Amino acid sequence: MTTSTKTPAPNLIPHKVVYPEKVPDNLCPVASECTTMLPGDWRAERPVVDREKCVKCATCWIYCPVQCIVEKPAWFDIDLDICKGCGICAHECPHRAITMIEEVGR
Amino acid sequence: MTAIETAITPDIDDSRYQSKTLVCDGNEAAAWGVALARPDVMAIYPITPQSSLVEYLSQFVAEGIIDAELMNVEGEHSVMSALQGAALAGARTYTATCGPGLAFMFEPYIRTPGLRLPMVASLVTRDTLTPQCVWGGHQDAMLVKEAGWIQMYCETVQEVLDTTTMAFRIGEHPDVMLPVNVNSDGNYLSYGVTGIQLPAAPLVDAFMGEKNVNWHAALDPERPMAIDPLTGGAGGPGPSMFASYRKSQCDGMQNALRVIEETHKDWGDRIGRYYSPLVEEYRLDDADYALVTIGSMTGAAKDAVDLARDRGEAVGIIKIKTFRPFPVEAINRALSKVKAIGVVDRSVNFGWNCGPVYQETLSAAQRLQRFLPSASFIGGLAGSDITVEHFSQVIEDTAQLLKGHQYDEPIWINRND
Repeated sequence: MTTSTKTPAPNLIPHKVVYPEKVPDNLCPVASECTTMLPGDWRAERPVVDREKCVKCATCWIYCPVQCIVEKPAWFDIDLDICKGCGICAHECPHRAITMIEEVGR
Repeated sequence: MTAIETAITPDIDDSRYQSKTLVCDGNEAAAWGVALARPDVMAIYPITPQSSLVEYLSQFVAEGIIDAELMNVEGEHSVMSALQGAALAGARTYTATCGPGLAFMFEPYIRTPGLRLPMVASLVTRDTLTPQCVWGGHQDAMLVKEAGWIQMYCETVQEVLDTTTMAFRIGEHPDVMLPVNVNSDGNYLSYGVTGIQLPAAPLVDAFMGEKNVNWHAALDPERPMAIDPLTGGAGGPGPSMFASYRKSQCDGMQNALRVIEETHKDWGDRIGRYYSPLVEEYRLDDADYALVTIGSMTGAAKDAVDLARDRGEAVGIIKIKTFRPFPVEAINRALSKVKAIGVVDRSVNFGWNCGPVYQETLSAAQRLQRFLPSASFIGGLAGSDITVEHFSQVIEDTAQLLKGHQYDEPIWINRND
């Protein structure tokens, strides 16, 4: 229920909001640099790139959820410290250039 | 004129800034409230008693009244996930749900406040299963009261419209940055038809000001950042960072009390309708005892209090509009005026054998440092009506507290209907 009503004069002055000069560091959790956490030792299988088949189409680079694909002169390789072995790159590679090999002795 | 201005503004001389009279139900009123706030992305999945709200929004988008993307996703979990992405890309976002839909939305729903994403989600409140039911009650909204969303309960269809629009500005305030639930009673407000005033769009545009919802965290190639990385664990900076984020969320909630008051005041100054933003006091100043109410039941409670006043009973009403954050100071100002209270809930607190509003009110009253005799009433479950006659009985039962009577258990209002 309204407590009172009246007809105000039209006010077209836009409501102004003052934003903080610097974004507070305790608002939304965000990271602007990589953490030191390396999930490489989580891996059960490792991706291996066949350099003959790789055409550098970057499909693996686009799909990798942990951004561990490294660009080399003639092929794309994997940073195995970061790769956690999900296998998405092998699944998505249109040239079947990536194979998942079981990690042994770890 | 934009499409919404054409739709809203009556076609008479020099009336761009006049409101238009409309006869509609609460779901249509909510849709108009959304239209006035000019959202960018809406994702919404129909569920009784919210479904017609979806239909109105679809219609408004089809007619060009709302210039927004309306995403037909496959369920409420995807609704909230899609809106989080949209908000991080800078969109003003809206959805509506209730009951089992809210339950299905729960996992992404509880993340939105932590991401500090302003967003408005109407809860057209519905009792929860089981027993199987599709009718109104507050149990769904009460289930998520600790999720970190701001929650405001509406009393009238007009208030649904006004609060829905205001909610966007409240949530987007830089001192708040939290999502907002605008709660309207299923059946009673969702389908209750009344005459309302539709504010003129240019006035609401000025009220809303500039839109900027992702200044703090964004999906933006110009300023790359990873949203919501792992935070916590034992050792390192994790635990203190987690605590810092949580505290900031609690601080945002407390700031919301001030922002909700400011925003309601500015709405009144610009649009002409003033509401009690946190707690409304009705015939309370000379009251010996009071009913505490929430939501649309308050209308019948006011009628019953008027009748009791005619009989000479010194009874008033304390109506809670803002439930999250809980307005401790405002409610204690009201409670300090009376010697006993009867709290009426449309849901139950299973752990305490009482209503949740009752439990919360007593938690606040504890800071008054005096014993406040009280009774918990539970009614209006699964769409049942709390009538003026019911409230007259509630008033009679509450008055017994002044004579020293104590209630060891809640009083179930509709049990003998």
